[in-house]
Amino acid sequence: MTDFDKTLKRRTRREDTPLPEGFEERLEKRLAELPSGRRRPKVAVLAACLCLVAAGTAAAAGLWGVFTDGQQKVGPDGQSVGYDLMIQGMTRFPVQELGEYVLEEASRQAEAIREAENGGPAVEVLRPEGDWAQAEVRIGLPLARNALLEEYPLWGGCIVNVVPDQEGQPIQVSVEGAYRLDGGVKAVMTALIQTDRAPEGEDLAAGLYWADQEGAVEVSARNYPLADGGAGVIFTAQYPQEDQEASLTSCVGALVMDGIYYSVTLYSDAGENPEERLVPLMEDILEAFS
Amino acid sequence: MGLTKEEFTQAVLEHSRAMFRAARAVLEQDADAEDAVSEAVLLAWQKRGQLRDLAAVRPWLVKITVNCARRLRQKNGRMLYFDDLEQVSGGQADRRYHVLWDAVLTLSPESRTVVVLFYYEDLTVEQIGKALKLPLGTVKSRLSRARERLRAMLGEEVEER
Repeated sequence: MTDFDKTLKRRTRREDTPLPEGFEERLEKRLAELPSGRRRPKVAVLAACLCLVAAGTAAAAGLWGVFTDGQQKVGPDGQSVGYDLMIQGMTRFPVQELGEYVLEEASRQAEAIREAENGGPAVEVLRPEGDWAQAEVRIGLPLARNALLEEYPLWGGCIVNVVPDQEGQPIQVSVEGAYRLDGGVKAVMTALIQTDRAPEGEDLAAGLYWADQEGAVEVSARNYPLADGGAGVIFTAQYPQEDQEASLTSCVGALVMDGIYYSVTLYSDAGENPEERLVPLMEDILEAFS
Repeated sequence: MGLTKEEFTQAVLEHSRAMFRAARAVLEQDADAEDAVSEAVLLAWQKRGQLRDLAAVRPWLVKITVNCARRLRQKNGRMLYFDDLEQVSGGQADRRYHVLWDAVLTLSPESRTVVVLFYYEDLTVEQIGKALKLPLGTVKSRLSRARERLRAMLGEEVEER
């Protein structure tokens, strides 16, 4: 390192970088709006980021099209604060049927995790690249398309994540793409693939987080029968009316198609009732899968 | 890693300036940079399970922010990689800057990004290449050009302030 480099580094420590006025306050607000969640010990679903408080046990009965084995969780005041849901209908794809990229990436990720656990650098952040067609080529499996979301530009690219077991074999593959829709709505679509290397007898838990027990979150959960006879599920969450300003309204739609789990999460920071815009939009999105 | 919301919040607030700086290095406007930080916060929260070592949270957050900023830049229709278009004579290059950050902001986004990651975030050129998916030679050449421009803008002898 040159003397100039050393001097510049010293100056970076001493000289402040100005922040926009109000930046920290806005950031604190953003952080406060993050959905709280319980991390599951099992392989995780990337897409859903929804706080759930459902009315009694009624929601569990209506979710058998996509989920099963719903276990209701109860908060300190006796309110329902969410569900532990298992996805049903997923195919355990043989690893040998997947693309070479998946096998190589599983091995690479397993090695990176071992290094990180031994004090090496943290596992690198995933980088979005390519579109759904390119993700299909890398994964080696056809993915459902969503004609509605594909009317909008893919934001940055798709993230393909391969989760390995300790032997460096893939147990889960996911593809995630983000879209900016009209009216400030953001959509994240995720495809989740389970392989035959996933532990026997274990199903994947849905990526549905618990409600923040410090604040009530009004939630609805319902089956959505698709026009082709299939089944989808729609969840919504929002803060109560008197706390509207703090709401990061979100809506999650999920279905299983050809053994692959798909979910779409819609975000709106307009503090709105999700029934007004997001749910109708989600219904159209679920119908647009093919 | 089981980061609680409180731990995550504390980490983000502690490194918020670094996140903004990283985003601003890629993007041309403060508002866009703040937007990228906001997206990075949500993305990092969703992917907090990938953080294996709390001691590495700052570079982890910075890398997520850089990626979010690059996606936003792509979405806005600007090319992410192009030849350095900084002026070699006249204009801002001939001005002398007393504040380092002001000088950095005059660089192209490509140069700014490597400058921020190298000087402000203490990444090695190898780490920068990996984070930005750039060949090592490209990182070195961008850093070298940026170094010369900063030397010219800050004065031949960069005095201690």
